Amino acid sequence: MTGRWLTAAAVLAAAVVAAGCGGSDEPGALQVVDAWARATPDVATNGAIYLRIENGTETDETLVGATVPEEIAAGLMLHRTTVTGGSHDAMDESAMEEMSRLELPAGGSATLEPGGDHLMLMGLKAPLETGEVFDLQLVLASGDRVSTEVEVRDP
Amino acid sequence: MSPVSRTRGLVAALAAATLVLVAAGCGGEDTPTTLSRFDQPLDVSAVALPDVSPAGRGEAVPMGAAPGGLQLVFFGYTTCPDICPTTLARIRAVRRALAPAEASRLSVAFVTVDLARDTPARLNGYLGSFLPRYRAFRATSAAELATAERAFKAAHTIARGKDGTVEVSHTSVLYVVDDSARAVAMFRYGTDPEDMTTDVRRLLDDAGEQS
Repeated sequence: MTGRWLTAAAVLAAAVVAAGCGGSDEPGALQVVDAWARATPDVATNGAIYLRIENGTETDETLVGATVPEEIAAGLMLHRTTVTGGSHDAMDESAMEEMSRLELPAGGSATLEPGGDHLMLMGLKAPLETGEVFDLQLVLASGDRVSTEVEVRDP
Repeated sequence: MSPVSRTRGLVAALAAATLVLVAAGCGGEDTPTTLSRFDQPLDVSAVALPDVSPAGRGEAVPMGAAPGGLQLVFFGYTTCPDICPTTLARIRAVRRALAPAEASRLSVAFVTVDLARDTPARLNGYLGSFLPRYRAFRATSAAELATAERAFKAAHTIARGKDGTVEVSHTSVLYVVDDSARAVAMFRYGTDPEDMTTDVRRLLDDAGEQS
């Protein structure tokens, strides 16, 4: 795992100014849609961010990192929850697998949702409370950075 | 890559995950109900674990619902970022959707598989944020936990990475246990809360008629 998945508040501050919030509305852009994190109990040390990334460009992209402000969490990891099918003698079992990258094909999209892929927030500095909003920056293999706002929800 | 997935094989795990996502209809339009009734109910009447919730005060309590009720049983851990909070939030949604008389007949038991990190205080802080009442089962030893898991045909593994991370894999189904301490059905992970509510209501009706 590289340090690119770690928090980097300084870089983030610059990028938020550059990219604004919620992604670009212009066609042909790479944008983040509906980024949210589940509200966490006071004792929770980890959380998860879910979102959809739409790559409206004509270029394949790859997600290689993500950052949140250091006052939110100590680090981020891209995780995939896998559920291995149950057999006669054992029930379904879920595990998490760390991924170093996520492909974002041209014209395609990737959805991070409960039970599938998620950005795991490690070492929460404080509980995530419903209604709270924090910044997230995605790092692409091209070097581009995409900023968005994450809304904390309790569905 | 986690130790867990390395030992299992990435390709196999991804294939299985894909199948489950398709089967469960995650993100799709037509989510089928994923209640599975067991052909042969699992007898869990021999399982009694310390309930460290405020109501249980650490005393051993047997599995099973109150007469005419049902108990939902889930094996998990509190540092779980995805499956466990999603499942607990869905149970909460089901409880809220039920009429109060129905909800009062539905109890919830969480069995921690992470004995090292899930202290009673952590468990109660975690579960209490989702549910007003629950049983927080915490075995006193790995052997006691393993015995309980065997009765449910459940399992878990905990692996420590070189960087200090802890990887936990665990049975992700939500069991439905009746008032005779028989696991009669399960919801597979990914069941839509509305579908779950429909099935729970049906199961409660059945349980009420039989008692």
